[in-house]
Amino acid sequence: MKFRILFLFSALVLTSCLEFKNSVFDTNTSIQGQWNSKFSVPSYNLAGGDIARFGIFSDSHQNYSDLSKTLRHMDQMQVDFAVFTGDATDFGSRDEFEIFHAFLKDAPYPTYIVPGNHDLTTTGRALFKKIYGPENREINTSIGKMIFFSNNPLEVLPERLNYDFLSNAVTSANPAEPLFIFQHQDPQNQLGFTTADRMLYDSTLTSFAGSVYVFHGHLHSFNKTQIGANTEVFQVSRVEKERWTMVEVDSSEVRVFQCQRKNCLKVFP
Amino acid sequence: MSAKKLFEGFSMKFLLALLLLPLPAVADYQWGFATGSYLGQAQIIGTFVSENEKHESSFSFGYTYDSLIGEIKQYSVTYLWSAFEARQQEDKNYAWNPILLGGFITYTDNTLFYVDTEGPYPQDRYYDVTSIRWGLRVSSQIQNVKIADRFYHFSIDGSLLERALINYFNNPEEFDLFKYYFSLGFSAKTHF
Repeated sequence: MKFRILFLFSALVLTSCLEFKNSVFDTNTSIQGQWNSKFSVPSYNLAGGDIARFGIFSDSHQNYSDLSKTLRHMDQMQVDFAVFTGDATDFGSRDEFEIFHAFLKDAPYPTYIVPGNHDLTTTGRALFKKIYGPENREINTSIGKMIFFSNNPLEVLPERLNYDFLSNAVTSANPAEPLFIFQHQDPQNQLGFTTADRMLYDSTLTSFAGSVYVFHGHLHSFNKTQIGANTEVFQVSRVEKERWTMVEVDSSEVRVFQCQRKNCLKVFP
Repeated sequence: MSAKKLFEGFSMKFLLALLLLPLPAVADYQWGFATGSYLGQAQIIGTFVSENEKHESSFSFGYTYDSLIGEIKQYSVTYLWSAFEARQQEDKNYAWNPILLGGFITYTDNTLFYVDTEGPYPQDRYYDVTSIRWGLRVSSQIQNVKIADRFYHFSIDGSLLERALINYFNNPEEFDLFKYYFSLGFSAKTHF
């Protein structure tokens, strides 16, 4: 009897310390959802001299050491908020989302998560929706409109890309303010994007009367390109070697920096 | 023939071959039910135990109902090596084997997961295989519990996913990641 009690006691202790998970393939996460809906950008008075500063980081996959350090560097550089431009996971599994989220929730500034192509594979699409909310979102802020656009055409068949969302969001933006677009993939990517996709994307942005700043990840290195005369496209490096992008906005301009750890190099203007 | 078709065509034979590999001489056949430990919410298990009771292999069919993605069926093979001899408790009708060590491999045929990424992707292995996962397993068993003229075996199983090892190698500073890759489970088996 003593042994049975000991066995049962051990089982109870173990089960209280460690999680009981039914399947390696399921989506049964305890993370409370709709993280992105809680995201907010501080209210700035740019005309009064305020400077907005935010960070953009990308493609952490399972590189948790560098993710953790990058989040700390952004804090030390006093960013007000940060945007992740996709690929928190390798194959959209629950364990990957749970670990990524554990780092994210400890960040001392608001963060917004855009889905990457890896994040929408297997159970990823269902988990992303559960944890972070809708894949596409637009918010109006005191520094300009922000559009978070899920552009992963191969992973979200049959609907592919929601260009109606993008077009409506761009059209309704105020041309007197900067327009920020955060997405995972390079809009000029040959893989998965048709010529018609690219033309539609380009014409949507170039028809906008104001300045557009697009930030994307996916290709794991820094780069900068341009679409038409009004759209600057910044490729954000993956977090490996603690790389990230910093943006400053004041009443006169938008400045973009490529950063490694706490060393930042201005690349725009 | 793609790897996916190859795997689907021979999956059962492949799993059965794995199941039989460690058994030079089977002495005992058991069957039962289990839950958790990554192999399914409800599992049916068949187990072979070697003559010297050092090796046991199990095949299990696991079923999980997931509220977001629906049914998940899993076909799993588990191998355990007994680190100790099961010790019969004095004047008691059961034995305790404190630690068995081994591994498992599990496969799901849910269409969300894949061996090859055929279809819209530019190549077969565009993404890593996701329908097969494997890991390490530790188990503690109470054996030969006599209840109503039948002998039963009960176990607490712990499974550690393969990603824990890969992540520890890639992120040695983040040791506490292990907790995200560990799951407990229970099983109850009896003899055929």
